[in-house]
Amino acid sequence: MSVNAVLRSEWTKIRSVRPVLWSLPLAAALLVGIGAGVTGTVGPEEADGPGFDPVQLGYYGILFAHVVVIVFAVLVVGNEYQHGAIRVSLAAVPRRGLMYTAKLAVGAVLALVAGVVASLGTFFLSQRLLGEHGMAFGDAGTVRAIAVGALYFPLLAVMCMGFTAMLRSLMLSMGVLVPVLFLVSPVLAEIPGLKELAWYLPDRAGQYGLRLDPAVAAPYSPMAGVLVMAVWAAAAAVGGWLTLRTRDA
Amino acid sequence: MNRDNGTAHGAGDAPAVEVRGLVKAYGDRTVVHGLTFQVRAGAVTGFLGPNGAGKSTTLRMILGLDRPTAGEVLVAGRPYGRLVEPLHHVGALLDAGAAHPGRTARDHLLCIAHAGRMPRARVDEVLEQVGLESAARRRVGGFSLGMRQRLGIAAALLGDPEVLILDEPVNGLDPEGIRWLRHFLKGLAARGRAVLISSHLMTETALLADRLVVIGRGRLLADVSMAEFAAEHGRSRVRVRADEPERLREALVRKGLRVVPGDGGALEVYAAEAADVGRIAAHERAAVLELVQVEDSLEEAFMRMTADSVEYGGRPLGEVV
Repeated sequence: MSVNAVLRSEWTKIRSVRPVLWSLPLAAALLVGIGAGVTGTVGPEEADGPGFDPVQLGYYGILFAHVVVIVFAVLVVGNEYQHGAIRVSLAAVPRRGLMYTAKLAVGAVLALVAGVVASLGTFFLSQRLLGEHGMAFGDAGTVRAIAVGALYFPLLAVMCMGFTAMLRSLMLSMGVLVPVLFLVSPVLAEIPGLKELAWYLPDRAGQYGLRLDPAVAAPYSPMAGVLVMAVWAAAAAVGGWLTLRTRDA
Repeated sequence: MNRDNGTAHGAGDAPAVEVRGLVKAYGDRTVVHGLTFQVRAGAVTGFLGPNGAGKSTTLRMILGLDRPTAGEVLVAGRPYGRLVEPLHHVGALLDAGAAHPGRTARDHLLCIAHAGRMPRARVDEVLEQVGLESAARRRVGGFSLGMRQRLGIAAALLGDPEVLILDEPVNGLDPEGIRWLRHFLKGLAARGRAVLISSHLMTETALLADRLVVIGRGRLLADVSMAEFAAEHGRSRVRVRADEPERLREALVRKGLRVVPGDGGALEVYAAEAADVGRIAAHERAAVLELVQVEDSLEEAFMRMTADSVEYGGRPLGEVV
């Protein structure tokens, strides 16, 4: 068993199924494209309005792009739980920790590449489209926002891959993760009593760092939001590992 | 066991797979009860049992996919999970549907080949071996069940393994495919490989296997050569029709034979030779209209054997003596 061999095998699994391969480029395109669409139509009067945040507006597409990142992550792990494919994989790589780590690593690196490209593209294109209302690279908070935008994809992907390994089902994972992150989280944030709790949901925590000026007071700093998200990702990854390690395949 | 250092094809006369006291329980439901048998090199071993006998569970435990409740399985002298290059020791087909429908046949095999550090050329070799070379770049979703079986067999062959394990490989194969598989497996066994094929049908197994491991309700019922099984269980009986069946029946029973009424007024005489039945009939001056020696088919022998195990396992509590 060699680590490189298993990494190569996991990359081949991703590369050889079209929806998996194209999901990350699609997510990047959505982030850049929707950001461009929104910033390109903003007039000066809106830019002068209260609470206008040019960077946050540029990253508006995250609400849609992250659903596609979830789909990517759920497919990467969930495909193993369709029709007993996991048995073929584990017969080839009986060291479960090696297979699992390689799978998460390949998925995370691909999501990071997509995140870096998408975040840079989104920032520069959206700020250029905002013209005089846009920010320049290096202005306070911009580098942090770009970094958070780049890390958002891989952290979300790792979390969703871990959850799928815990649930051991593609359909179940898709059915839980997509609605929870797409609908429940935004709704929860609007309910007064639960608003404080909603700050600790992974997507809310991660997206907090995409604001230029954290005027809406979260109980933590923008970078700490990324840490909250990382804790979610780590917990899910460990949970997935414990499930894979102990359960019969 | 210092002979084995993780290299392939060094098994010598040690069993290729050794199953020792294997138990698998899910809660209080025990599906495998202390199974012990060996799979030997140079032979095709049929792993036979009715549906739900525990065959697939046992195969999964051999491959380290399911954890035994007790007992162990050794492949080339060590547990599957400790094999350095598992694909060179064991190639397995558990479920023909395990390939992602969106992948091409070639990519499906590449995913496995890369993990075992096998060259791309090996993928094309096994595709040719199973007759799928023309479908290599087609997506598995469009494959027939027979083609998926062939793809699964190709995947099992990738590492040129010492042991080939195929779960119900005949499912979905057409007669031509079954003939191909038979020649193919016999050829592998002749070259010193161990082949283990599971099935719930005796007739197809009898065509393929040299040895038989029969289980029922998770217990070992037989571990014999195909020839021994046929000699032991292919019970023979005699069907006889006479003009006065009742008188003949009484005469046969007096001789200690078990007689059961058959179709069309015939008598079925168990564990008897036609010549003996004929002599008894002549002694009774009965006009014999038909006298036939009937050999039980292996399928019937297998059904009888496993039916017993089902009976023992399924007897209601109130009837236990």
